[in-house]
Amino acid sequence: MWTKFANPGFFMRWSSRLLPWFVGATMLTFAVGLYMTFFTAPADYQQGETVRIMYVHVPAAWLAMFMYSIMSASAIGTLVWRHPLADVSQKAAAPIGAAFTLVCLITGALWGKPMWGTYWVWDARLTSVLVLFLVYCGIMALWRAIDDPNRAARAVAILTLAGFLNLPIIKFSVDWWNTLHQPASVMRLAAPAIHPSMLYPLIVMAIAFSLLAVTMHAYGMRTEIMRRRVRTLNILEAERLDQRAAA
Amino acid sequence: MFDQYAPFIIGSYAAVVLIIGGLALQMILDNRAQKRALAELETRGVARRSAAAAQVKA
Repeated sequence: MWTKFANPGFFMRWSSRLLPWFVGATMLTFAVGLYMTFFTAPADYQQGETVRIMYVHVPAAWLAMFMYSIMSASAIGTLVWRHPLADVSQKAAAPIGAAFTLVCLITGALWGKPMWGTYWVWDARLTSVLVLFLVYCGIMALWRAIDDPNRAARAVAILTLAGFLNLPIIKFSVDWWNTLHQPASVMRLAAPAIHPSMLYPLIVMAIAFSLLAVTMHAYGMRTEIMRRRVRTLNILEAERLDQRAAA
Repeated sequence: MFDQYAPFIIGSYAAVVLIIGGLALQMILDNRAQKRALAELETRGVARRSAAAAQVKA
């Protein structure tokens, strides 16, 4: 039954109806999140005002890994079911994930300088996130290197699943090794180690970033479906012109 | 506002706007380019076999 819903035509119909609502929800959540970030959240007793970088750095880090998880799930769809929508999802997620990873790296460096005294250290958390960014870049390069989208999707799917090994390394790097980066404050077995006055703005900003990522992903998938239609029609037109020339 | 950390905080939010905004802009331009290419192909009368068959049936 799910194949009835997971087809490009169905996706194009429903995404065109839902996207305006997602755009509205994203903007509204960002407005609330930014208000909380700058007007209700207090400065940290140790980090001072720099704690406001957390409200973009942490959601960007979560989204960097979330988009890679979406790509990995889609990669399974590509390899196991050879589903065209899975290929499209994989391809559309890569630049979005790369952008969030880059945001995470830059905001982390800008937070690190005043707090740690350096923009960068080669510790396990920072290095594994840099590796994630390089994997995203490699995946986008591989998409461009192979002309046939079906062949490219299978090659990318294998690379994506190999790169998935990096996600638990990122998550647990702060527990497995001595790192300058602090351990988990929100996503941990015990209660979050962050005061509610800072936790709530962080959650609202995380929801805003997630809505933005989902909206951009759906929009990117629509563009990719159209790109494939254009490619198919161009091939059809070329075939017809060849047939006419031969006749 | 933000005391001596202002350059780091403003720089962080500027990076978000530039990177995510730049990607969003690039995605919108790409979407428009694909829509234009599809419209051009349709005006030239190129249709997929399934679409052409559906038109014949209708």
